[in-house]
Amino acid sequence: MTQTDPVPCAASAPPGPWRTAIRALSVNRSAMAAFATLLFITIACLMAPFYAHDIAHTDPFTSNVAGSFMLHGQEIDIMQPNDNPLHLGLSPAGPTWHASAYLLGADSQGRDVAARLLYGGRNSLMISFSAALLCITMAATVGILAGFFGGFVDLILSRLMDIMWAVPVYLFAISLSIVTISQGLKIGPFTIESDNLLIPVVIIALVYVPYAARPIRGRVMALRNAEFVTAAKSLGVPRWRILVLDILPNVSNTLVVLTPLLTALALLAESALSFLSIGVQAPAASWGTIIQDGEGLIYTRPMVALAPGLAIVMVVLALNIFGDGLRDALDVRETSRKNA
Amino acid sequence: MISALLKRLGQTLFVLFGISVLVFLVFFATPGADPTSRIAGKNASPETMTRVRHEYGFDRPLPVQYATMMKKLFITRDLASYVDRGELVVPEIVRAAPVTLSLATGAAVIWVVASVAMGTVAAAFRHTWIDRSLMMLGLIGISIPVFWLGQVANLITQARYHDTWLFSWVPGLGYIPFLESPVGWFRALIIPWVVLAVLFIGIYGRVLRADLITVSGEDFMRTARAKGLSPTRVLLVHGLRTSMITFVSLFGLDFAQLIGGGALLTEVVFGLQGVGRLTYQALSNLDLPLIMASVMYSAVFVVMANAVVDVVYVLLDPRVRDAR
Amino acid sequence: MHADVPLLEVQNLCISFRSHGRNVPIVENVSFSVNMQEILAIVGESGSGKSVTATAIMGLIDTRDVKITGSAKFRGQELIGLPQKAFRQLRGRHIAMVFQDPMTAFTPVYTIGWQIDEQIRAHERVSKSEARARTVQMLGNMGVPDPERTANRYPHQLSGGLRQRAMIAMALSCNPALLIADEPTTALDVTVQAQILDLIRNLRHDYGSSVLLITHDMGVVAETCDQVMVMYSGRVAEFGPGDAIFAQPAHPYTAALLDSIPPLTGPRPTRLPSIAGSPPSPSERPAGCAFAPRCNYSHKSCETVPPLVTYGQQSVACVLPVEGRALPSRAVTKDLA
Repeated sequence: MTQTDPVPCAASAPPGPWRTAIRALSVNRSAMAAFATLLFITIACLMAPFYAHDIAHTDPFTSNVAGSFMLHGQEIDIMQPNDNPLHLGLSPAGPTWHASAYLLGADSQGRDVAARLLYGGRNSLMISFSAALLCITMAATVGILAGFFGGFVDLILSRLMDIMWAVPVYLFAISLSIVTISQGLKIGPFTIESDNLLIPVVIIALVYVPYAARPIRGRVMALRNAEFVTAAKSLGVPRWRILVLDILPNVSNTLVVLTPLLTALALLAESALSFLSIGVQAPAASWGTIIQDGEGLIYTRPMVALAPGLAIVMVVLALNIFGDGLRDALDVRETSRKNA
Repeated sequence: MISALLKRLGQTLFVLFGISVLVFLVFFATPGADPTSRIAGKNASPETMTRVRHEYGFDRPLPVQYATMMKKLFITRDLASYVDRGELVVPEIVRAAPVTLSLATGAAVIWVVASVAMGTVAAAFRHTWIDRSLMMLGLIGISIPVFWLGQVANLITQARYHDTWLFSWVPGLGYIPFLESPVGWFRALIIPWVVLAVLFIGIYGRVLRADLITVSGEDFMRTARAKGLSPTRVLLVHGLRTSMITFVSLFGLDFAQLIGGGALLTEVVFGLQGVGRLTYQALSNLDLPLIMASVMYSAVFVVMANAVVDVVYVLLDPRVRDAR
Repeated sequence: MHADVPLLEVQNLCISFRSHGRNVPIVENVSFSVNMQEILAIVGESGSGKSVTATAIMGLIDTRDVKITGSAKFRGQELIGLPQKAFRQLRGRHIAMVFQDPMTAFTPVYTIGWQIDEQIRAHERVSKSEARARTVQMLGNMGVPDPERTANRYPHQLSGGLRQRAMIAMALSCNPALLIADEPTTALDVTVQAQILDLIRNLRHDYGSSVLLITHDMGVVAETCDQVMVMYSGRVAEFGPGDAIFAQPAHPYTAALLDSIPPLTGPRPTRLPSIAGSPPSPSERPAGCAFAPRCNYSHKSCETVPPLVTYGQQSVACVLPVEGRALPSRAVTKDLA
């Protein structure tokens, strides 16, 4: 060991944990494919008004049972005689597979399913993503308070979480929905109408708080006893500084990993509530309400219910794969506990 | 030992109390509207409103309302539905229970068997294509909304392929009591069972595989191999048995939630008159007493199941047995 | 079985792991042999490759990224490359292993007795009650008090010492010819350590077993072993009879290890000498002698890997004896051994 190589200091500074994670994620092919799928579906849904006005030329929110549309120069009634041998009643038009008119057919009110699918997706994605963010915020507050302060605060919050967790998630959500759906919500001077999309967002966020708070609390408790926090304490660093500077940045990767998984859960919950007609209220659409609309047509025009269902499966699957990739990239464990 | 049991009992009672307060508050103290009109239903007459107000004590303070409600639910059990012309709620739930129980039990058998097989096989062949495809299947199972899967199953078995040999045996939607015809019961429920089980197979298979892989790094697994045991025996007798501890505790909670009405969506799609569907019907005409009762009962059930899981846990894990 | 044919003969054993597309050698060209009823100690710091060597002999390395070459013959049967199925016949029956941490080495959900029965019944056609009778007897022989009741207890209900006794009872339950003990006393209290070492020392008389003892503690070696192999950074540093090595260590590393044993008699030194620095990680081994960076005697000729040379009764991988600058012999040895 006679000669020492000059060490290039700045250039070889170790990359930060986030950069390492992004690099690990970007070589994970299935995670990137999932992300691309999500991006594509989100953009497609955001283009809903454009599709409805400029491509399909329909209004997907008014019923149009007496109307007709043009295909290959022929005029076709939206409501057609039934396929059954007696030709009793009317069925909406089936899929035309032409983007210009009723790509996926019409629903029982003669509305364009494809256009509704995009509008519904916009609501579904918006609700589930906002619900996930709101849920993470609440869960982080609860989890960090309980984990960092421990003792009495922890006891109260953990018991509260236990109690909420004992009620089946969907029943809890249903209870909250049914109460708010009838007359809306009045908190002091603020009134939230029952058809406001905020209601499902708040409800879904609320019911999943225990699910997300638990791993966060565990992480914070582990951090609280970590050496660097003890060291900071013994140096006399004030508590709030430890919380903001030491705990929060180290919990953030748990929060990031939880976000796609919670979005997936929220999307499933939203579609279930909407399917039970206590989520998104008519005339607004979501993938859940479209499946509900399609229930009556399931044997004659299955596409009405199949398309939004497939959309849900794709998005939830992509979110789960992406979430798994994030978890591997950020090396976070303990978030794998499931939904109900 | 005795003191630990008493402590556990105390905890259970506390959680039960907490849940009843939570549910009560959700239904009667959510800001927005008068709970009287919620109970009485849409367009109730002023006389009904007065009666409801008096019966539930809505003119008195919250703690009294809470006590009244608990009495009506668990002691006198005369909570009545106003929307449904005074039908008593509690007996209705009791009538629906066997359907839900049948549905949940059958699904549970399927999901336990399938997920144990899936998790074990995936762990045994870890990092091979078998593992990867099983785990992907599981992830797909987790990602499918159960009500939609039910519809697709109906579309296939009731309509599209109903006339072929494959599904001609599937009866129409609805429940057939076991005592009436065991075979009919089985036929009517097998499709709902599978549909309900799919989600759980995905979850449990993945959880079990992860647990098995964690366990396989443990010292005792190396000991077992050093003893000259076959890989199968090491995996099943030492690995799986140890991993079952987590599995069982998860299972207890999920099964309890299903019995408690968590299978609502499946019941709705397959037209099974269980506790969940009861709740669903109550939803459509805003029948609050019924919904509250079913939520309350299901929560009670989940808490009880929690206690049972704790007992089973003790049976499964000798370490816990001594710790208490 | 002839006494002059070694029970286990390892030659040029090399073990390397693939990591990030690179082959990282963990163990390089290790050769040694264990004779019948002999105790051989493999000594080294953690990371010296001693445990990996033992695990390889047991066929317990199951990563696909590993490459093992060389030869390890047990009673003339080649172990390297032996199919797992054939290995299973050997493991537990002819070669048994005791692990470091008795806390975690038993499956927590079964009783001690059940686990020993399992091993017996895996190798011999005996009834449950016969197996249990043997289990109880083995536990008793290992000095476990009240063996019948202890057999029905769960691992976590026993103390560390008892658990290690049970572990040894399990390892010996099929009367193996070779017992590999991987740091069997490290996790135990000092008083219990001595008892367990006594037990191991007596195995050759009571059971006719040979022992391969893996340890980092020269004190343990002094108390038990016939032959000693000192490993450093995946290579053999010195090999030879225990007495000779304790009397006149030929490798500076061995000498340094011996210096770090606290003396049993005489005034306690205020501070034990320790070896400065730490062993190199397998991927960063120096080109020459791996110990050179920490060695007081290192000089120019240490820049190539020193070959194993014979020096007195030992063989040693150091240039000093060849250059006629052998280390001085030690006076304190006899007190220790």
